[in-house]
Amino acid sequence: MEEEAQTWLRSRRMLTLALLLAAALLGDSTLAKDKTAGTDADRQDASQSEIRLGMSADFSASARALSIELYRGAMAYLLPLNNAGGVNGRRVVIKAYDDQYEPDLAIRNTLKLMDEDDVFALFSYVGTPTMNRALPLLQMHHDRHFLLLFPFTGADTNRISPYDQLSFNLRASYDQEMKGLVDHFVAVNRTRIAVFYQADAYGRAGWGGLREALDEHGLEIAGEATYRRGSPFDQSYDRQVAIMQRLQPDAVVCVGTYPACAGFIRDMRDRDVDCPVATISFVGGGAMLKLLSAAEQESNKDYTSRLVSSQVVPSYNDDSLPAVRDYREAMDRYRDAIMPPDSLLHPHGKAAEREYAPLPYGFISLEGYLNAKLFTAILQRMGADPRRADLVATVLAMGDFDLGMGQPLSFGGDTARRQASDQVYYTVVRDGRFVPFRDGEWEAWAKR
Amino acid sequence: MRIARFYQKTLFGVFAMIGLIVAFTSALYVYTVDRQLTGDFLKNSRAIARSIADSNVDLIVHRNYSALQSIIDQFVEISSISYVFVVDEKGVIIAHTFVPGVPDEILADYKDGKDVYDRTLAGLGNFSEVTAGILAGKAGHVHVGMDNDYIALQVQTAIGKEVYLLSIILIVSVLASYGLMYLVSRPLDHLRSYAWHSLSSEQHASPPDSSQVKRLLERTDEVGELGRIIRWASGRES
Repeated sequence: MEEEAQTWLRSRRMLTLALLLAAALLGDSTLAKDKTAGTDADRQDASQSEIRLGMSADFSASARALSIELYRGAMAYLLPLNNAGGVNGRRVVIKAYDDQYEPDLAIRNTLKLMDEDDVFALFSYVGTPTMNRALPLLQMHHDRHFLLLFPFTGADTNRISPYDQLSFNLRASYDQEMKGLVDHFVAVNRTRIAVFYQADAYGRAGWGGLREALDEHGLEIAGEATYRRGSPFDQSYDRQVAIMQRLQPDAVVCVGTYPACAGFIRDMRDRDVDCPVATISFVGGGAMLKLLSAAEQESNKDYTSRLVSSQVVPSYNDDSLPAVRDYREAMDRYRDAIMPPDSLLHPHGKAAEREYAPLPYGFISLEGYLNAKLFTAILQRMGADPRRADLVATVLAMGDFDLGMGQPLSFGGDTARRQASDQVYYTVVRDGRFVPFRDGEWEAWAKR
Repeated sequence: MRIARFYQKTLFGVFAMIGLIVAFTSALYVYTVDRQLTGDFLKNSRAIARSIADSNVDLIVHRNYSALQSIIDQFVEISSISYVFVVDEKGVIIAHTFVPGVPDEILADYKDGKDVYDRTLAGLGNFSEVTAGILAGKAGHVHVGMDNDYIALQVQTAIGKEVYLLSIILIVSVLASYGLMYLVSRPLDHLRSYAWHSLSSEQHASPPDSSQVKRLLERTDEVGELGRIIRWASGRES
């Protein structure tokens, strides 16, 4: 019995020793993390040579062109910046994860970015449904001062309570885009406006903006058709077009992604529904135009007339703007170097038919470029030891500033503005490319 | 494996009784499960409608349509829920989950203010739609549609499993009863054969072998006793 007891005690001591050793080996990183979380939660280690921005976006599914172009635009600004030494000697890098435009994946990515990558801020998230699910996480971690900077969406969720305090926007909202489109259509006597939209939070945000805009004119939405998120260009949109044929609207506004909107416009024109069609900025005009132009060549039909796209950045062809000149130069110079890594683009292995052909220039990459430029401007104001906790105060203190976009931008002020730009631009397709659609030109679309 | 005629009626009675038990149990189970599951699905849908109506009043009143849509989209991931839509105080559908649009059958009567709508939607199937008022109906209503075909499938699956189990029990019971009856009737058969051989002047087709007779006469039960009486009566006892 005594021998048994001694053996048991010896085994127990050995186990305790092993556990202590394991704890000592593993504990270093845990303790380091705890230290970061507890005493200096809002500061990336000053000795780190980089400032990390966390991005969750669709790099491999139905909206991938939007995310890839946004990323490329941001990298076109950051690459030369980092080559020149970064900001206060620290490189600005983007840690990106693929969410396939699925909210659940966006939640996981956001947790990873905050807990494992300890990013300085979340940056240029793509999409409303994904952002809507990520914002509550920021609220839960508000003591760590994470912010979502310049998401690629114009939805209200991060512009109104309770999540408006967790975000800053560069771009105008969907409501503003819708208001502009509706005002122009109504001015040319096109009052029966229908909507084609994605059946999710993004589509609903656009639908809401349209409803409010029409309400200001005492009008209602003439009718609606929806599609499932992730629907491809090749799919038939005849059911949605049939609804439009029945409604006979004066104009249709599309709130979707480029494959679905392009497919819907193709099928509309094929069935001779020829009213003007408007798309909003998130649709991704460049990628949509690419699909429609290819379809035009195949069918010998005209899919790009009477198509207006609202944009939230100026034309990427407008060389008179300093920001656009710099952007074009950077896109030309770094064309291949700014692509997202293959691990993001091809999570299931490379396939020739899934290869993405980047656009030379576009509204979305220009927006990415401006997002990165604005973040850099903010970071430069934060000094050598930037802290997350100081980010809100720094941005709100910016007041009026100029990014070279040819329009006034401002944060803060009396109303504590958190959206820098209210400007919406309208473009139409001429000679296979988007050109500005001037106010006087809308008259040509007047309903007689 | 033949069973004595003496027991055949008893065996038939046992089979009939087991069959009746299985049939009645199945019928009771079908009735109970159908009611229970359908009731549960209805209750869940009401709870979901109530939960959307009660916990998202701010979103609805402040017209945060996008956030509201995010919430209702999560509920249609539940298998039995086919669609959800929210109607505001003006009777406008401000969020829904339909593609390519809200069906005409719903547009025709969703403002009727019923608690439950039984619907047949063209190309979609049959649905039970429950409603819940937002701020006692002042700010609108939430409608949740359940797929009746899905519920029926769930009920049928549950019932199918039960009937399958009872059928197996029935077959096993029948086989076991048959086996038991055979065990009981075999000594009687031997006794009958022994009696024919010992008492009748007619030649019996197959006389019992001596070891069977020995085992029969050594039995201590009524069969053994009868065997010994037959031996005595036939005057073979020495």
